[in-house]
Amino acid sequence: MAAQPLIRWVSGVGPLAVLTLVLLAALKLMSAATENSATFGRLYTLLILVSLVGLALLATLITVNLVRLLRQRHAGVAGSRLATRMVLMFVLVAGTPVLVVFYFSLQLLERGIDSWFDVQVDRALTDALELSRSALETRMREVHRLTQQAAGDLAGVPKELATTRLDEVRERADALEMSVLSAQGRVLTSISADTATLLPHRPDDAVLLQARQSGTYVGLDPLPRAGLVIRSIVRVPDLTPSYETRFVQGLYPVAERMSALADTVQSAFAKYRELTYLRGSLKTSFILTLSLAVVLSLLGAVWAAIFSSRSLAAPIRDLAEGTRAVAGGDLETQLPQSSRDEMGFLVQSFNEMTRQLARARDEAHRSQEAVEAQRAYLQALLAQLSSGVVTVDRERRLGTANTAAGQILDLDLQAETGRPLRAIAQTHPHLQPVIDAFERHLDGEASEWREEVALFGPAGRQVLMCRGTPLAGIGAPLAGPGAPLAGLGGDHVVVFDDITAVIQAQRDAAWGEVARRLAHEIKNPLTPIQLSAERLRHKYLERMKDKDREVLDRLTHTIIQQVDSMKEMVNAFSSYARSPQIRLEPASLNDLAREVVELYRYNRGGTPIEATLDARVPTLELDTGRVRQVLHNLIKNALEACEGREGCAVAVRTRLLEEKGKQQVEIAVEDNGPGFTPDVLERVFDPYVTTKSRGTGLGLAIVKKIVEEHGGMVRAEVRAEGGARVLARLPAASGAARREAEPKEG
Amino acid sequence: MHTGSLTARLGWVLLAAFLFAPAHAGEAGFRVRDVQSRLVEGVYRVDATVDLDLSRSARRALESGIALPLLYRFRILRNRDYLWDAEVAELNQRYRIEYHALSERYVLVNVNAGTGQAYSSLSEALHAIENLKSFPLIDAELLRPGPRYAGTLQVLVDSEALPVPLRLQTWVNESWRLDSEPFQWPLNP
Repeated sequence: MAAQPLIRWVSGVGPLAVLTLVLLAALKLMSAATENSATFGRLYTLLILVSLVGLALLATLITVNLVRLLRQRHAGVAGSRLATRMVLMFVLVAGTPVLVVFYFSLQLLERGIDSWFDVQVDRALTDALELSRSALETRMREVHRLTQQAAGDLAGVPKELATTRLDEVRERADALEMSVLSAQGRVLTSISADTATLLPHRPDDAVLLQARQSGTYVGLDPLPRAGLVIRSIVRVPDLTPSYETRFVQGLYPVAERMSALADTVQSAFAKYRELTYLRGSLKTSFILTLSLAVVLSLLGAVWAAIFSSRSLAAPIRDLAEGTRAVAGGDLETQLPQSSRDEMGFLVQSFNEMTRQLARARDEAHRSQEAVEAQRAYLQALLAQLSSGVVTVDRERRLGTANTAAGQILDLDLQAETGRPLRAIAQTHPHLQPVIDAFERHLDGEASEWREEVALFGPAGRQVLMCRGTPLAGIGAPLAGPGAPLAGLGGDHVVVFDDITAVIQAQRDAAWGEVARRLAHEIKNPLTPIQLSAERLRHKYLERMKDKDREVLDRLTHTIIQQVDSMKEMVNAFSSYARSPQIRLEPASLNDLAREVVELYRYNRGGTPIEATLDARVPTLELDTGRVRQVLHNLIKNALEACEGREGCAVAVRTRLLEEKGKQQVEIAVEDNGPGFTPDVLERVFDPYVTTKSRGTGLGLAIVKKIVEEHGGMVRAEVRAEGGARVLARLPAASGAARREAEPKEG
Repeated sequence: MHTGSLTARLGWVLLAAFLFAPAHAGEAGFRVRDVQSRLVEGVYRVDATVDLDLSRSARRALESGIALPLLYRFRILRNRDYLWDAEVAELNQRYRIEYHALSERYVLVNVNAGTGQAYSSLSEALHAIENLKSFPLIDAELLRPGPRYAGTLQVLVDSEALPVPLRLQTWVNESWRLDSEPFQWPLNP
């Protein structure tokens, strides 16, 4: 865990920059030291070590960075390939000229150092040295003669006087130091001009040997403090055979000017010889310094390459990662603004782009929400519509259907969503007429269509008024993407209403009008006819004789009887057409039913009649007289249907129903007579529809009218086991609600 | 020609710069034969016998005008039973041998004292410092009574005093490995 910050620190610009500067300084000092600078010469070893350690450190740091870069490349980190390529390019661009310069520098160095040395200079210096020696030889001969004189002066001088004599001799010869030495080189006595010199300058063994062998020695002697002196040694002559061999040694100064010149020549010669000797080593040192500098430059170039490439690749990596994030759906991505150059501009543009994308996404989201809201609103609206609304797509599949559509078609249309219309028609054959109508118009080119379709469902005959329009034709705002109707999933919308009741009402109204007119037109002449017939009978019956009397009687009777029948018929018409005001009061349906059934218990045909009454049926708000008429009509019809049929029976049932939280009371009157033919069943509640030879054909029409006046509904059906069944349903609701359903006319 | 020699030299330099070859004891070299110390008037004085045998490279350098710095490094150690010896003091006696071309003599300079002496031959100059007589080492008062003390002497070419270009050679060239092994003797009186 701690390695990451360390690597990041090591990879930073600081340590490498400092290290590079230190190394540069060390190399500069090394270069100065190589040129024999006394100050840096002492630090040379340290500088070499610092340089080598520093370079090793630098190389390590760069290796760490390179390894890191290669790992990133291997791991496919964004920007690492570019960085690697840039490092290679940098190193090539920087390294190639450095190496070329290095090569030529080496050659220049070699030739430059070689050019310092010249045979002629060497010879000149040697000659100068020789010349110096020659120049000094005169002085050497001169001082040697003085030493010889001193030796002569000292010959035979007793030991105790030797020092005094030596001092005189030294002063005369102007020597720096004069000593008397034994044959073994021991200093017997010595006199020095410099009183500070405590120890006499004893000759070395080689000099002494030469003096012993040849009796004299003269030569130059460089002394650290005194400078160049001439050492001259001469044997003191033997005056007596028993006399011990002694030597006089004199140290003489060289003339100041001469000494200075000789020193210069000596120094120059020594320096030149030193340089000549060090030529190889000097080259080596320079080459080492140069090589270290080149290595430093190369490593520096690599480091600069890594650093630059990293700096350049960083925003690219950020961009790549940002792009990946945006592709992944994170539109909140914002990249750090690092520079003001083109890369910075790119980063800025990227940030702006993501901001705009985020805004666009938010707007799209808001639009979608608005569309959803509109769609929900629309669906809620559709759900509340009493009209059925369905959509059909291009493949003739059912798209959407509202609740009313399912109720009208008596079908769970939600389950049929997505199914082809033809498949629905096969499953539900009673829908075939309406689906045929749909398909006819879906193929058509009309933008809007309208058709009345009749179908026969479980609830009987239904008449639907269908209106359709292609969604594409109602304009883009409604049908385009995001439009409110687009969510309905189709390209054709069909709206239909169940107008069966309306048609029926219209028909009822028409029949009512007919009945009213008939009653009015027919009833008026009936009374005069009847009165006239009665007057005829009254006036002429008694006057006529036998046969005529009988004929008149029969004829007038017939007229009167038929007029009565006609009156009865007209009254029936009248009661159908002009129902009296309904008067509701709490009443028990079961009691009414029981009462009416009892009246017919002993009927003319002896048809058995059974009443099955549900005790749960509550007290209803009823117009008892009219409900009683309903029961009369229904039971009468059933008994008439059973006339002349063996085993025929009539049943009256009441029961309490509960559908969708609403209570209804059902009255069913059924028989096992001939039942209804389909043709009759369709219009059985219309006036003048009857299967009987007698009757007005108004019985069921009146039943229907009264039931509807009570807010109920009535329907007729053919029993599966044979016979007819008429069902009337009355709501078990408040009287107020029912009063709303009271007929307006009448 | 140049390039070849340059390349070879460069290779040599780089190799030599990174690889410090271990020293091998050749024929030439310095050796401390014997060191003895005695307490004279409160001062430890040392008599040392040393062999100074210069290699050909060193002789040639000397004859070519390079001043040869020699270093007698004395160390006073206090013996410890369970640890390495503690260094109490170090004394460096420096000499320099130069060749004086004009006089054709070798000058031996006692750097510490600033005195010098010229010799006709190199061997004589070397011989002058091969036998140290009564060299004052350390005041006895500086040593605590009780612990055992020892002295070491190592004679070496002071490469740090050589010209810089030659210094590289002394690191890598075996003929410049002249340093003696440290010679240890008991310092107690």
